[in-house]
Amino acid sequence: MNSFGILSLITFLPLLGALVVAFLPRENPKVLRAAALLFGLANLGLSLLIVNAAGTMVFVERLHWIPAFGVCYGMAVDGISMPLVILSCLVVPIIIATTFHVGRGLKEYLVLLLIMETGMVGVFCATDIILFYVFFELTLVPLYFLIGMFGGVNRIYAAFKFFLFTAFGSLPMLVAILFLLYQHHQATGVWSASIEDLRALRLDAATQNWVFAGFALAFAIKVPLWPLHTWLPDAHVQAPTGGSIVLAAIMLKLGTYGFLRIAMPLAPQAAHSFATPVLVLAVISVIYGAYLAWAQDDLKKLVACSSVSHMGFVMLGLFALEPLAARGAMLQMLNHGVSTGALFLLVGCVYERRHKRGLDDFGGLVKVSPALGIALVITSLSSIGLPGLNGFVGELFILLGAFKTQPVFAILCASGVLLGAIYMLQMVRRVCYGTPNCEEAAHLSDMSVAEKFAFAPLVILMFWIGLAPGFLLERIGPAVDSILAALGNT
Amino acid sequence: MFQDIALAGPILLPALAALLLLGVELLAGGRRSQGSFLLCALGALVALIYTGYFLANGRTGLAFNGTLNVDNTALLIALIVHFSALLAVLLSRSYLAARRDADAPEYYSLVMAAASGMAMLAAANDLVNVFLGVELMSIPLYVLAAIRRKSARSVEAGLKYLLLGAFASAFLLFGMGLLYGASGSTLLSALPAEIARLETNGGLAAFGVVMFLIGVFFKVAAVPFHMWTPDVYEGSPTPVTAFMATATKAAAFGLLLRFTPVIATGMGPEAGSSMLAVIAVLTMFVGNLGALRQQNLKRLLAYSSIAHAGYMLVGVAAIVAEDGGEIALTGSSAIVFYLGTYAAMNLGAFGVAVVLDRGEGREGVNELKGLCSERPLLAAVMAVFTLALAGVPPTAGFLGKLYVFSCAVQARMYALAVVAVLASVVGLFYYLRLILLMYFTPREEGAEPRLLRTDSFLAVASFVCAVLVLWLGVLPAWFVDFVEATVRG
Amino acid sequence: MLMFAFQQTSAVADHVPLLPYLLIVLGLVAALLTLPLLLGRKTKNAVKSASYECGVAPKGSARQRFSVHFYLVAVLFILFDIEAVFLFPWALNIQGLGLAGFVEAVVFVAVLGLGLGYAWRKGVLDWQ
Repeated sequence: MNSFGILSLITFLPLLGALVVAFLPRENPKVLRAAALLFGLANLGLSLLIVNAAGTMVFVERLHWIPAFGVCYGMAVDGISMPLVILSCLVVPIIIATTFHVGRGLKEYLVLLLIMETGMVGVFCATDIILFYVFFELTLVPLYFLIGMFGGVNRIYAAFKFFLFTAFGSLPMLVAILFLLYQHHQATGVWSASIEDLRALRLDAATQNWVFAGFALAFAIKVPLWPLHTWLPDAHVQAPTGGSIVLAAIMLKLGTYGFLRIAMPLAPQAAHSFATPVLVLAVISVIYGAYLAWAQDDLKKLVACSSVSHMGFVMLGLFALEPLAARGAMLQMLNHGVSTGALFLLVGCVYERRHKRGLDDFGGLVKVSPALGIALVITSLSSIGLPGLNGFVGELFILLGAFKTQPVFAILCASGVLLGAIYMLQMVRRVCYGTPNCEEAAHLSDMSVAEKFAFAPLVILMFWIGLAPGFLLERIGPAVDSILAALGNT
Repeated sequence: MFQDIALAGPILLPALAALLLLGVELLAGGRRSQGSFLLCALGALVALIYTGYFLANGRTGLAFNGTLNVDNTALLIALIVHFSALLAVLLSRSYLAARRDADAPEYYSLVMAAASGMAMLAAANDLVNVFLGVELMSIPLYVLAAIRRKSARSVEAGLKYLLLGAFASAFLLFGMGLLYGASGSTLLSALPAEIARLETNGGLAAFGVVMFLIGVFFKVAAVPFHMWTPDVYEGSPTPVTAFMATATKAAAFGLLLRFTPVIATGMGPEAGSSMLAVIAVLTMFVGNLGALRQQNLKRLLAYSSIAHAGYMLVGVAAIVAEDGGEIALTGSSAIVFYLGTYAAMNLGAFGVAVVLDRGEGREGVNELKGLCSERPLLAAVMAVFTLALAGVPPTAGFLGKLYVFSCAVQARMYALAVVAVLASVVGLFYYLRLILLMYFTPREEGAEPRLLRTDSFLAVASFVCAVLVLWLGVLPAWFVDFVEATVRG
Repeated sequence: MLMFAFQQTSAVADHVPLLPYLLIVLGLVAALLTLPLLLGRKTKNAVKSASYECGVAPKGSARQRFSVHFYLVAVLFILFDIEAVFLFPWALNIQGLGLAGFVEAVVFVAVLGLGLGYAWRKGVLDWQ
């Protein structure tokens, strides 16, 4: 039980990789990339060992960390965190494999990426609330550097805004955490920071509201919910491709994961009483995000705004407080990670070739570079939620579940699906079909072998989740149910 | 007698080193700066080891008829003071070597004398010893601030520090007089009981406490008694600034911790903690807001040190609010932990400032531009210190804040905790700006490559600080336990 | 310590022996002031009629520069003045304080002596 086990290995292997890469000579990018890729792939392989985590916490590790506060180094996974851990481990090697456009500073890029992986995996594995907080913040720093060092023209502004928004959110969370620790100490006489112990607290309704508010601010900024979303388009647009992918695929999930794992179980009554306001914001995010995306002329901005819309959907699934919807929300978190991650990857590929990202700078991509074009079409369809692809399953579950408990919000959100189809298909029409808009657009090279290899696992996941979601649902289901059961009839 | 002298070792050893330095200079005469550097570093190291030995073996007790209380907190503070002194001395070598206008043997002797006063302040259990400690700490610092006689800024810093410091000492003395009048005792440990016994003099005691605190607030640079800080920190030689920012704070907070029972009885826990809370909030915000627009690295760090004093005052307010009990111990441990980690990160940051200065007084924040491509390791180390000062995990700065703010929560001062957290968010702005300059902003087109030399002693000092900041951030248990265990006694 | 000595003998009778002493002092001062007035030769010139025969002119710009040596000497004077203040009570109680007290006083004087030696070495006492 108390051994330094597989989860610690998955968490800290990338950090070791970052150290190794940091000490390699910077003159040889191939060696750097190969070393980073090796660590990334090894970690991906290791992460597959936890694939059978389901209803209960497994691979438990527990070591004293700061005994004076009852803070432990506690790691474990269940069906909720397992897929997110694996997705984190998958995304990083994909990014490493497509870093050919990074010229100077490749070493820093890879080091930051690997440190980031440690933070991301750590967040999903932590069972101790202080440890969770530490990893939560740890993800912030490397991404800040990634955006600031490798981003676009306005990178400094975007990095600043990103860091300040998220840090501003997470500090009230710190006060809420301290408050909970103190409450636990008052109630039981011992210090403990274990989420499990803190869940056992019986707080009165008013206290729960405050605690929930503290956590909700941090997580809502991360999700991001309207009106706290304004950092996201800036960060996404300015970030380098790798940063965008990590941001979309993993970082946004920290918010929804936080709601599901921390905010809702720790303040169950407040989760019920806050459901309506949160859902109102979620609906606004879905529709407003979609309208924003519709209005964009820039590929990357379009995808960034669509993230706001999709994440609002996930929030609907969570706060419908219904088993089916919650399963859908979990699936949709993964789907959004896969689809939007893939979209950013493709936008990055396109941008490297054309050095422009406007919707009208292309045209006829399917003919010009077939693999790239078709990949973009498939990914867009998956993002819309075409039956047979992954997006469909998640959206269907969320809507079915939400109709039972929150029919009004469900109907409003369903309109978001329609809007999503409109802007995505319009994007596909303008970029992938028709004729090339100009001379440069007519001569774009197709996907390289590395890009194909990097993209392949994402496509496989899109089809696999779309056609056979059972494998994941078997694992997500029990874990989600146990959390909802605890929320139960309060 | 010998027992007393042994207990006073952390105070006497640096004083002895100071005298030795003067004596060697007297006999050997002039231009032996290398020798006096080594002697001073050795003196600080011996004092550090001696203090550590006493701490580890629980050699504590009252000395000199109870006028010195060498307890664990005092030893911990002395440990931080001697650590700061040692590191400041290590930073000094290259700083002084590049400048001809500072007298090396005198400089090192004064650093040791100040360290002796600080250690005394931490252990003082009698108002007379408090004053002695304050003056023994301050007078060498006045001289150190002005030690670059040919530099107008340095002289200005020294004069400002002297005038305002003397002003603060007067307040302190006045407060002591009133406290003596209210209680008939000069023993700090006897004051609360005596004040409570002679309750008719309540108003006198409260006034005395306020006056005494004003004196201490000057020393820790708490708002509204902070005005001297930016000018003095900017004008003083950089290693002296580092020493002042870390060791003076440690000593003054050591005194404040010993004084908390007097505040609670003299003013009442309610009034005392509200006053401290207001001062803490003001200090955090004035410090952080003031730092936002600074273009001089030392000035920026000066404002940041004001803000950090505010964070620590949050802990003091919590201790006074509860007046004894569990929180007095947790709060003391928290503040001592904070002081220790703050010393490491701040000394480290000033060390980098010394490198950037290159003996030419280049102190603008713009000197940080492009550091990551020129000296990646130095930039990484500075980034660690900056993030620690900002309180970002997994650095020690985060745990220090966590620890102190949790005291406020335990004392049910939720509003204070929230405000403190908000103040740290404001702090992020300017700490991030430093990182931004180092990592995201290249140097101007056509700028000549700089020759950034790192003295080996300075490199060791910065490395030790960086390791401590990360180690205490990632694996803090041993230090937290150590501090808790020793503070609890 | 001197203060304590007075406090312990607070009875009025104990102070009676001081009375002749006081009278002698007053008489001496009066004599020394009046005798020169009667016996002395009177010279009148600008220097003699100035408010302060030596020192700063009482009128004129206040922004005069003094030699820094004045301050150095003054600081040294204060130092040794205070040394005397500490040594007097020790001398009064030398028997009660014994060897330990003697050693302490020697250390004290030695520290001051070291300071004086250092100042000497640094040329504080040279008046150029």
